[in-house]
Amino acid sequence: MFFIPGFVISIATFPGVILHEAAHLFFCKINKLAVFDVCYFRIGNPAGYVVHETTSDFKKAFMVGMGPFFVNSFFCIVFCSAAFMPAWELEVSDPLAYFFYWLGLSIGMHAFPSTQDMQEIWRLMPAEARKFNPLAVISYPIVGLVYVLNLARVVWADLGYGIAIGILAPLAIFHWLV
Amino acid sequence: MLLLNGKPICLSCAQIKAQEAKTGGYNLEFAKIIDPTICGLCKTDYGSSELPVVGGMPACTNCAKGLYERPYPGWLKLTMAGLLLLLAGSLWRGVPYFKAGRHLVLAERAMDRNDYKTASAHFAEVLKVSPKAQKVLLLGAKANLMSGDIGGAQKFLNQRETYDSNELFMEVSGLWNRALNAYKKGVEAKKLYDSHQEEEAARLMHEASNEYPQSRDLAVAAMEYAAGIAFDHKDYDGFLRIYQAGLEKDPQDPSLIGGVASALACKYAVTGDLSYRKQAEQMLEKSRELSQQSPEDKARFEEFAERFHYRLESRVIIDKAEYDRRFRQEAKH
Repeated sequence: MFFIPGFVISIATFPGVILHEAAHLFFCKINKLAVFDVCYFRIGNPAGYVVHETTSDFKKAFMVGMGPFFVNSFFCIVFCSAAFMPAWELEVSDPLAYFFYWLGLSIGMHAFPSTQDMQEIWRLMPAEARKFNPLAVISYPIVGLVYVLNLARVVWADLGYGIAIGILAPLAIFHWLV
Repeated sequence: MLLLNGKPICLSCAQIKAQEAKTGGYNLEFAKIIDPTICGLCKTDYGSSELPVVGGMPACTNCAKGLYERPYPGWLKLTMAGLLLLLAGSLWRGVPYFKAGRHLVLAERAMDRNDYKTASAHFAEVLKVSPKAQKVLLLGAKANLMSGDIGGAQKFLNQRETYDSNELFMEVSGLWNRALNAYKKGVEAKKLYDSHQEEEAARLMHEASNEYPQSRDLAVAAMEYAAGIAFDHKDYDGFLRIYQAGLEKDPQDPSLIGGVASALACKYAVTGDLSYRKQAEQMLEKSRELSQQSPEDKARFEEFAERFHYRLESRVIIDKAEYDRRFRQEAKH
């Protein structure tokens, strides 16, 4: 396992950061939460951020916190779909395919919500779970998993996730369709 | 101005108090005084009108609207639209890749159910788009080798000069060497047969067929050589058994059916038992029907049918060479 500074990874995979923040903004807008500041990308930690109004509505907090996970995962699969067949299965040297692979994997690598993204969910989750809110109940394993995966970023869990959904998901979908 | 314990305090005094707290080792909590009549964003003073609070900050209607309806920047919208257009173009351009991918999936499925002929046909389609992929070439070669087509396997393997060594490569390499060795023995056996060393030729061809059992050519040759020896030894029961065993493996092969017909005709010629004649004629008819699909099979059938009828009518058993010598060379003169 080798160490690469976080800012280098952010620069190399900047489209993922931008899409992650754009997804946060999107879910803030559709949930009518005020947004005070947005940074789509910068060289620093965090590489991007959205400062938004807090909410006591668990559903809104869940959507804003977890939204980028679903959006980035979706676009990772979409962009990698154009690339997995020539680049992975057929070993055809196609620059456009490699571009989409880089784009898709960059996006997939930034799918995980950060621990800051999860704070609102974490704060509201226990009370909602006690009320048997199904979303809150299923959030427990999701939040647990995301925390573990965030810790596992040091062993490239984010890249592993990107590869898993960027290669395996299009492959599985294709096999299912044929 | 700030608030300390609910009382207002100016910034300079707050700094002094904070320094004292730090030296004394205790904490002080300062709060910012928020004037609910001044917009926290545009700083406009609305006099005595209190503004609605957004995220703990007073905000006027204009500014609040901006907070809730923050637009995406133009560069982001343009980039996303451009990427989606490029993606659509790339997917359209990638149609041949997806078609090849479909053939690859179907080929792998055929391999899983040991349907190597179907797999080989699908791999040939993949090859048109992906002529260098090691996995495709090795699997294609394997499918051909497993269906007994060494020439087809060679076409796949010749696409690359070198291969990375892995489990599949070792497997295909082993298969290839075994098949090649068997074919060399087959060629050697043919030479022996042509020089009338039939017994040795049959033994070597049998060995070759055992070494590469997937090859139908070697299996048929081994069977024909063995049947030829039985025929030469006038062992017509053995001759019949050999062709019947072959027919069990491939019941739709017109030449194997013809072989059974030939053996039954020999049995009739020797015994005069009409049931053999009847069976022989039935088999010949079946062979005729199946040989109509290919010109080569049809020609082979017509040549054989002539000798067959001679055998049934005369009850004289002679091989093709003798028949040719007696009747066909005369016809030429």
